[in-house]
Amino acid sequence: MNYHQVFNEDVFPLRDKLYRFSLSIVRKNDIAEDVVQEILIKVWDKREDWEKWRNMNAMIYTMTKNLSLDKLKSKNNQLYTIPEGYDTPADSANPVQRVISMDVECIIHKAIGTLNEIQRMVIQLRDIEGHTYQEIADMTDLTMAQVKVNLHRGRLELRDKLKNKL
Amino acid sequence: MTRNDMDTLVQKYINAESTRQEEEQLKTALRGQDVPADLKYLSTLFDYYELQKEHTVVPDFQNPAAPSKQPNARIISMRWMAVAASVAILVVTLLFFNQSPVTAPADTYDDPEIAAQNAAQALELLSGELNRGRTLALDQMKEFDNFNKYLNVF
Amino acid sequence: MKTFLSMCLLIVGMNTLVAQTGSMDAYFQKYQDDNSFTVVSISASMFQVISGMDIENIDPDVKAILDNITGLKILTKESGGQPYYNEALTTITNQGLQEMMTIKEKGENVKIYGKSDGKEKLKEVVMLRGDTNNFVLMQILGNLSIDQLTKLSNTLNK
Repeated sequence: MNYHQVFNEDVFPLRDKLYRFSLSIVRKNDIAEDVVQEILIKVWDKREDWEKWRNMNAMIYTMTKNLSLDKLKSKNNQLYTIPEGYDTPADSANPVQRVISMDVECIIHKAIGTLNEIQRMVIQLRDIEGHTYQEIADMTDLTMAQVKVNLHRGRLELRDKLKNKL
Repeated sequence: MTRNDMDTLVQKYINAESTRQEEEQLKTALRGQDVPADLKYLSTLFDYYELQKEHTVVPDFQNPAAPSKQPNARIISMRWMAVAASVAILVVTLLFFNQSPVTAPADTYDDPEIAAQNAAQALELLSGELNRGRTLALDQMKEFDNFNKYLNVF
Repeated sequence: MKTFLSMCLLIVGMNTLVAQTGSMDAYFQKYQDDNSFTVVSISASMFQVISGMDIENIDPDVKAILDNITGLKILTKESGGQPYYNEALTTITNQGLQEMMTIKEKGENVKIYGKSDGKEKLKEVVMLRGDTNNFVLMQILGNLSIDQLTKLSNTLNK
């Protein structure tokens, strides 16, 4: 197996998606960045095990999920909490063509923040990245039923939270 | 799409029973001009999701599989020259303290005064960074009036 | 004479004080013999000597903090620091340290971690700073107060 080729063609290009995925769980840019960088290093270091992984893609997502959840736990336990909003939609790079206003974005961002991390995670994978239920189940190491239940509860909650605000 | 069809799709969507095609249909329908008032929230939410995908600024990640670059010629700043000199002193000192157990951490400085000054410098550096972080956080906060209440937390 | 006395104290101190270990010891050990790194290490016994001394040109606020420190280690590299920054980052997260602050500015990353003593103070602070070239890892052991540390630069920058 040509490790370099596999990594550069199949793993490294996933970084954007992994970053958004991790971000949906940890909700802090810098933590998500650390998570993904760590995962990339880990996956590369484990290249000799790749052959044993049945579904590499799903495996990497599951690793990202687990590390993100760990970081989320330690973030919630930290001594000095950096206030939320420190890196809410800062959007410094591309302020052009905003379809929705900053306020609206803030309201939605906050509403999503009230969901639990599993709900946020499946919504990210389905509604933003457009994966199938089966793919999501593999990536998150959940059963298909769990994926649907969480998706349903998350969407329901968002509807109740946003219906009167938007 | 009739109102009825739309409601069915929304219900399926909320129940997480919709296929991807159905979700696409719903998104397209909600992107139109005359979105029913009670579905406005969903149309905005879909816009938000779209935005997340395109506008999330992804940082530059280091590719661990990329060949590592050869380090450039080292330029040692004056500030660390002193440290380097002290390391030299350490080597000499170590010869004297050789009989001390290996577990004891090796001291870089043998003169407490120099050690104290270097430690003080390290503290300054740390303190400077702590303050930089705090200032940055405060600056960011000012841009979000609704987060003002957090100002006291930090 | 004073130095000589300090030396004697140091020797005695080395034998009596139990070597205090910090979370990053293994990481320091890995690179302390690498010539491309600059290493600074100040031991508990040295800090004990320092706390008993009166040093003229050190700000009293700084001295107060120094007196509560039991160990200091710095590891720096002047070129190609980025991989080490990332590596240190993975090590730190495995050490039960909690993240206190993150700065990202103009391609420079700074992270500060702390380990609480269960009360209001920290028994360990780790700072990690890196950009494309430079890498700094600093570890302080002792009984540290963040407020005290933060106030420091206000007094120093006046």
